[in-house]
Amino acid sequence: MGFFDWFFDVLSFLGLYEKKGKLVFLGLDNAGKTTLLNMLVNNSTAAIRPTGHALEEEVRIGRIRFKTFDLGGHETVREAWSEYYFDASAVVYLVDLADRERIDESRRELHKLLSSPDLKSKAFLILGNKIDLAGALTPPEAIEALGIGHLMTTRDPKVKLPEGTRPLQFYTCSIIRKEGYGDGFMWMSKYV
Amino acid sequence: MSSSSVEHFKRIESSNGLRCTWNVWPSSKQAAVKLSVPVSMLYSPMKQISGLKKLPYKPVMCPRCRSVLNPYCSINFERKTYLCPFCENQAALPASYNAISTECLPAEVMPQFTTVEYVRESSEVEKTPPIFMFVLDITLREEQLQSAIDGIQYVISTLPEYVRVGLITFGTVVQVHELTHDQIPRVYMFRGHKAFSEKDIEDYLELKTTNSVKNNQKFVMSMKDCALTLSELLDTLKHDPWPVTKHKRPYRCTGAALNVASSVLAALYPLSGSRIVLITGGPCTLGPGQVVSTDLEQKMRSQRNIEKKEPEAKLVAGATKFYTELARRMARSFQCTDIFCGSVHQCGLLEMRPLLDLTGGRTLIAEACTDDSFRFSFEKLFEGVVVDSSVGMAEMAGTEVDEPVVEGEFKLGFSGVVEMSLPKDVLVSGCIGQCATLPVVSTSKHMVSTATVGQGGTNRWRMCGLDSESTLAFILEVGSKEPSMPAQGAVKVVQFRTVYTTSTGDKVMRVSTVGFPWVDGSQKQVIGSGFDEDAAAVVMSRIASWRCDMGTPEREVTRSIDRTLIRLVSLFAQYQRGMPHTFALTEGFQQFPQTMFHFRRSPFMQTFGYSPDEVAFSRHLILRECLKNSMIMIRPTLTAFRTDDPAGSQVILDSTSAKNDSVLLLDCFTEIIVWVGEAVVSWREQGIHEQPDYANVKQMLEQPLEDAQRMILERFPAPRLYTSDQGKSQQRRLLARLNPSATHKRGEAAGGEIIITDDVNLQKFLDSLKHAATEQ
Repeated sequence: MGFFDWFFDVLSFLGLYEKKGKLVFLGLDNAGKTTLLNMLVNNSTAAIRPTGHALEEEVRIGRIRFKTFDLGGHETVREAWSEYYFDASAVVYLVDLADRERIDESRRELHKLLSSPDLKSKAFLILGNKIDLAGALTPPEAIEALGIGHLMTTRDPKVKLPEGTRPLQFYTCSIIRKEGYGDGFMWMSKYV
Repeated sequence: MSSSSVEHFKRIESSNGLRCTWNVWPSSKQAAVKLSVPVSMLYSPMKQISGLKKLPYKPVMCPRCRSVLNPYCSINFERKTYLCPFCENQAALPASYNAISTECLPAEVMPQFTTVEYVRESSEVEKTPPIFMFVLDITLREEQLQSAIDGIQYVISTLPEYVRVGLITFGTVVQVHELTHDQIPRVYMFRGHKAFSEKDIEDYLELKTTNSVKNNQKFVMSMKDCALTLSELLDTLKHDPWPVTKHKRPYRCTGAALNVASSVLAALYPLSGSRIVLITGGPCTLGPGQVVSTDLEQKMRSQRNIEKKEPEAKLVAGATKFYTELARRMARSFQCTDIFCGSVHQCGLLEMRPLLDLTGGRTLIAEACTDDSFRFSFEKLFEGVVVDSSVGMAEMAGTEVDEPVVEGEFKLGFSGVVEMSLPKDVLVSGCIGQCATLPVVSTSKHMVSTATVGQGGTNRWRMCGLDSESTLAFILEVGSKEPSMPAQGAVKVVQFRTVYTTSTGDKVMRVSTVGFPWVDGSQKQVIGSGFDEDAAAVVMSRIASWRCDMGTPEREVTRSIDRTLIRLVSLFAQYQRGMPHTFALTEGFQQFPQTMFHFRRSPFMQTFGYSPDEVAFSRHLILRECLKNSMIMIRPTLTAFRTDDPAGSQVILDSTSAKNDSVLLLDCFTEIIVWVGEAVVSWREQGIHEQPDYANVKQMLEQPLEDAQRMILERFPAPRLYTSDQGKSQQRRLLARLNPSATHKRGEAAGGEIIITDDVNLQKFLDSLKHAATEQ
């Protein structure tokens, strides 16, 4: 062990050394994945076309440096999600709460992910986006529609989860109004 | 541009395939630099021209400068000599021109034939029919591989007998397939980890053994001799047998396979034009040209990895270098590479792009080989191999024949070389387009500028593969350093000579000679009247795109576009200094700022949300497409269909055009979006369009889809069609390209869609331009 290794060990002991993680943004097309990425990286909103190839950026949340992978959400690319999530530290799953027609489709995709062996113990942050739009589902409606009520764990960071429990939380947000997702990320960073 | 000027530009284009940013040239260099948009030409050497003169004899070339006799040569009918407008040499006409007089002129000196083609009917022995070498990735997943094989099966069923073909497959290893039918076809394998030398490949495949002539003819054979064998072989092709373990990519030695393909062709047909057609379903993971490891934990490099020089991008430089060197080698033997990618992931097009740009290849990124856009594009490429009947007719009649032109017909050319002749005080800085430089000959050195842009330092370029849409941009340096007053009516003449082989194997030389008025630099109005804003937009986009390719950050390039724009309008607009409200753009310049606004927002410059491969794909396209197609890419065409106008009319590219009672068709060249407004959706759901009284509603729903279908069949690459009702997911493809005149922050404008963005809109952009220009 060289000097630098020792140095970094001390830093991490003091909690100053940044943790690193890998995040994947998943969800149906038009859920707001790239808009979220653009907001986190460039702090701006833009009219962006649906994502084709996977996009990668780096985002800092608290003391953690995340590599984030934003994947297209339309049907043909969903089968390729697994190539990106198998080695991820956590999943951010976005849901368009204003699109009542497709909430069922979103639930199906989410449960496919939840049952994947690769993601068995990884934290899931589920963001219900577009609450600024009229007709958006309320949080209880969304939790019901997504069928995640029984899977949700505590928001309290001090409570230790029992061994083998997957951290999972639901936060509502409006990305274009810069509201809601920050709390979600703070919650998630405890489990990375 | 005034409408008469536009007509003039279009006339030059339709009869020569040439558009120029400035059509009246200043005689002083200083004045030319002040124009800020460089004097440049967009030239399409294989553009289909109606009424094109085809001459069945040899061109008369100036013995001193190699330029060809043209309408700008002044002929001395007494002495049978002519004055070459380029080198000002008096040259004698050949004896066959003895009968020349003012009444009896050969076509090539008639003023209406500024572009002619000299067609030499080759004898069967001389003919060099085109070669297609298929290079197929057999790691493609089952249904994908089958679809790719079906695609090849289909095109070989359409190819003429004389076309020659070969087949190489690759995965963990490279396999070269024998096409002989008299025995069980054998396969020769090369390990994928290494780029074998041409010599090694020659020796191993015994390509140059003298004792067996047959030996070297078994890998590339004419369709006549191998159609059946090849078809059977394709039917029995198997997926790569090497197992792919969990969380791994397959071994895919794309670079090694292309290297073998090139070496085989170079050894067997060093001088015949050929196309290497690559079909792949993922990145190269093994051997030369590798862009990523087989380990899925290592992701494909992203824009960010490349910009920040992160370790994930460590293979980019090496792979790009390998493909660039390979492309140069291919160019030397007139080989051209086409790349068809069928994958939801990146396939490494960024690194492989030199193969396209230096050889004239075509490409497509599709999500799968089973996609319509993949199938249509693949078939379209081979439609370019057409049997040219007019040449045969010329032989029979013994006279020149006008070529019948089918609108939108797509043709392929092989082994092209473009050469330019320029007069005194006009230099070429370089060419931005799909080409590779050829060394300049000593007699042409005086027309080559030392300040290079794009592929410079010469007046000759190779175009190994070319087609009816291939377009080169030549950046010129006009004007003399010393002030000189040009004579009244002075003209500067430019000549392009393109030699290429047609898909029937005949040699053609197309000669285009066009003159441009040469005036004193102070004649601002005259010079301004010759401004072609569409040509200028395309040239500016190519220069910008090329600078980004060379590594200049997009932000910086965007700023330099703004500076050019400010300088240009401050020179040609009407205004009083310091008073922005007095600012008015003069005729001929009114569209240009808007077009550049849309270019700044286009995927060429705003790369957030695009992968390196996607950016490489669009920049490759703007580098090669004709003016019309390039304009669609820069400023997509938006057509609105309404109850009172169900046949559709073009509307402005603005959020206010997205009205809920209309259907929109947005054409972005590679993508077409049909968008249906909410009101129309409800009519459709109520079935109103099926009622006889509402034929207009039916038409406004069907017409855009019909128009889209036509574009899909006509274009290469076949565009992808998306349909979206208002408010649905895919409408983002439309909204991303509209000028956001109403946004979520600024509230609702007069109808139309509200766009969620922080971007600057056109109005704000033009206001800033006025301020900046009037302050100059």
